Amino acid sequence: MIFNLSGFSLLSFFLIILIGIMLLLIPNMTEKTVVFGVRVPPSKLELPIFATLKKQYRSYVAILIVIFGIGSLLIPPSLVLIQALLTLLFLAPFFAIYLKEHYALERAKKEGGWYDDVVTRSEAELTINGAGLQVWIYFVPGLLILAILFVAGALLYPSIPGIFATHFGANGQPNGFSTKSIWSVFGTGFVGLVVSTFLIALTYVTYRTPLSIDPSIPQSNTRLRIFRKTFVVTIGLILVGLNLVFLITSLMIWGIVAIGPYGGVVLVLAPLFAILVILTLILFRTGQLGSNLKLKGDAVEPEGPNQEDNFVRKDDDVFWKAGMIYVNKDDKRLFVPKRFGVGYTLNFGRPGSWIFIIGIIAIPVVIIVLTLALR
Amino acid sequence: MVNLTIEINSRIPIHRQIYDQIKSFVSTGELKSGERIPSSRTMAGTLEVNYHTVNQAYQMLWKDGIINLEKGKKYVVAETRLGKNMCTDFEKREKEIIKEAIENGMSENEVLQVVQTILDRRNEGVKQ
Repeated sequence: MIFNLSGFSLLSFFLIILIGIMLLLIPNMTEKTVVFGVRVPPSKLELPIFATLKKQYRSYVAILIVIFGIGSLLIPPSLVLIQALLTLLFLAPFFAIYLKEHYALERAKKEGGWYDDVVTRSEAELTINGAGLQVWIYFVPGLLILAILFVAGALLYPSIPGIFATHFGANGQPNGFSTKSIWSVFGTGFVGLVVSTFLIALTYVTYRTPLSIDPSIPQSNTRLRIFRKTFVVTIGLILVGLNLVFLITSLMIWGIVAIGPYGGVVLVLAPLFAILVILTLILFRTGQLGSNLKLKGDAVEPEGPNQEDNFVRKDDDVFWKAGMIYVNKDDKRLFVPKRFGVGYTLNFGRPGSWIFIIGIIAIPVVIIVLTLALR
Repeated sequence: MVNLTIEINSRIPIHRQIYDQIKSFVSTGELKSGERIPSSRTMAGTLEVNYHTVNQAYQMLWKDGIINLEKGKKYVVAETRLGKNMCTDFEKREKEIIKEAIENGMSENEVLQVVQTILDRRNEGVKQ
């Protein structure tokens, strides 16, 4: 960590605003037939309850953003822990709001017998749309930044003093020092290497997972193909953002980039926030499983009595606890598309998902150990 | 781009539907020999049907030499002469269906039209 915890005031403010906006947008990014984690037949989507619940969700989340946004600025820097926890605390009332809308809709679905008068059909990919994607290309920019870090470090190594600053306060003054070694000079780079490997491996595992198809959604195959590409591009962008942070941090430690008051925090977080904003825009435009894509031929209504258009997707709510947690022992897939959000979530019916969670916890532990080794 | 479609309320059993479709994809060349298909547990997940149902269909496909089971429980489309067999099989079944249709009062033109409509609709699907 390059900045002092007192810099969290600004950090948590921007994080809360950014996360808040993302949460506000989620109902407009999900599959068209999944609302607040409830599977709905397309014919029922015009019912007034949907607009009511969405409006309610938006106003509640907006209130949350205002309260926590102001709160993050008001908490004195001495209460560092509360500052740090504020972003996490923000998510608790948000989940309460989600659950309220989820159960309200689930009740309406049950009472209205929404699936009583529809003909259901199951459809799934036998071959994967977009499997031929040249995935590695999208990781080149991020890995290039990491390569620059290691090359620059190797070139600068002789000129780095025996004892050098590795930690800076929010005011830009150094407050932590290390003796020169491969670990202290390249520590941040190694963290970048671990994180990049993990993200790339994760992408290769997830993007080729076969997916279900909603027969009521036109041009599903095209949508899934574009969605898969968007997903890989998104991870590629995250890789760029994170490795930029690691590169800038390293340059600061090596004394190449001088930082003024708060300069460190701004310099490190600016690329990350910029990437997060771009990411949100890309994900919004595509939508979960390509649901927001405007495709050629979407406007053309199929003519004549086309029996196939009356089919709706089988109700799969039973596999989703609270509409959010997927548990299906009969499903071999470790990753399945999220219901409330864009991207993938774990299948908790598989033991692998627990191993994955442990792995997720292990990575920060590795980073902390490396950081301690740096000091 | 090949999708498997299952009518949940159909009188045709689900495992039969899976079998028929994969067999027909192989015969039309939409599934090529050596191409991998999802494992039965993955297919059960994406189709949201029972795992044993998919397994039953895969067993039948395997017995008929349409798919092979490779190391690591990977199912791949087998090298077959299914194309030729399929043609004679298709002709035989088509004869029966046409005979039945005409006996029930459909004209030859109507039969042709129905076939044409099905083919047209299928071509549209392929283009997508």
